[in-house]
Amino acid sequence: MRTEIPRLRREAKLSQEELAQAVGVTRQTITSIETGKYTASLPLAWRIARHFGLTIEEVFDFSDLEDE
Amino acid sequence: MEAFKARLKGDIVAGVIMVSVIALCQPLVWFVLPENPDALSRAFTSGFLIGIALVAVGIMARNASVLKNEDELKKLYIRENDERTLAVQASAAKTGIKIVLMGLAIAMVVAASIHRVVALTLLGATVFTIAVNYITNWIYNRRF
Repeated sequence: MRTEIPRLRREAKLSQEELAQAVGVTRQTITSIETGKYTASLPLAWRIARHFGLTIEEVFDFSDLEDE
Repeated sequence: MEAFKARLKGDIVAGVIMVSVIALCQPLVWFVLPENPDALSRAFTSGFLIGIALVAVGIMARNASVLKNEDELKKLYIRENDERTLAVQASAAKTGIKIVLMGLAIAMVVAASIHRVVALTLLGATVFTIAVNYITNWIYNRRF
């Protein structure tokens, strides 16, 4: 699953560690989400989206699920 | 976070009880257990229990230190509740139990042609592991 998190972090001048602390996960979790190795749970996706003031669909790209 | 603090305090209490019980068991190990030339030495049993006590003391010390520092408390909370870490642990446990069961089954088959007691012990361990696996599956199926 693709995500806009790296771009949003750059725009907000936020490190992975800072975002991780803000949403209550480890830095490794944010890294894995950004690289597509791990899919965030719905509550975590919601917390990340809310942190940037966006909706889940604006942060995560679900288009690959439409093909399944 | 309050529930997490309460859990850490509970772990300290459980640790104190465990260390006390182990301390009380030491005289039993050295002076009450009968001598058995076929068994492992008393020093092994005593050392094993002391090892468990040391781990418990380490956890108690960490919890006591973390409870005094809000930043460290939050870091530990995140480390212990991080969803990816929990997913990794669940996957590792699932794979681990399969490998353990295969190892036990192979060891049991090999032991069957060498020593009856060892083979039966391994059979017991295999059955126990399968039973625990099924029971925990049943419990979590009801929970979720």
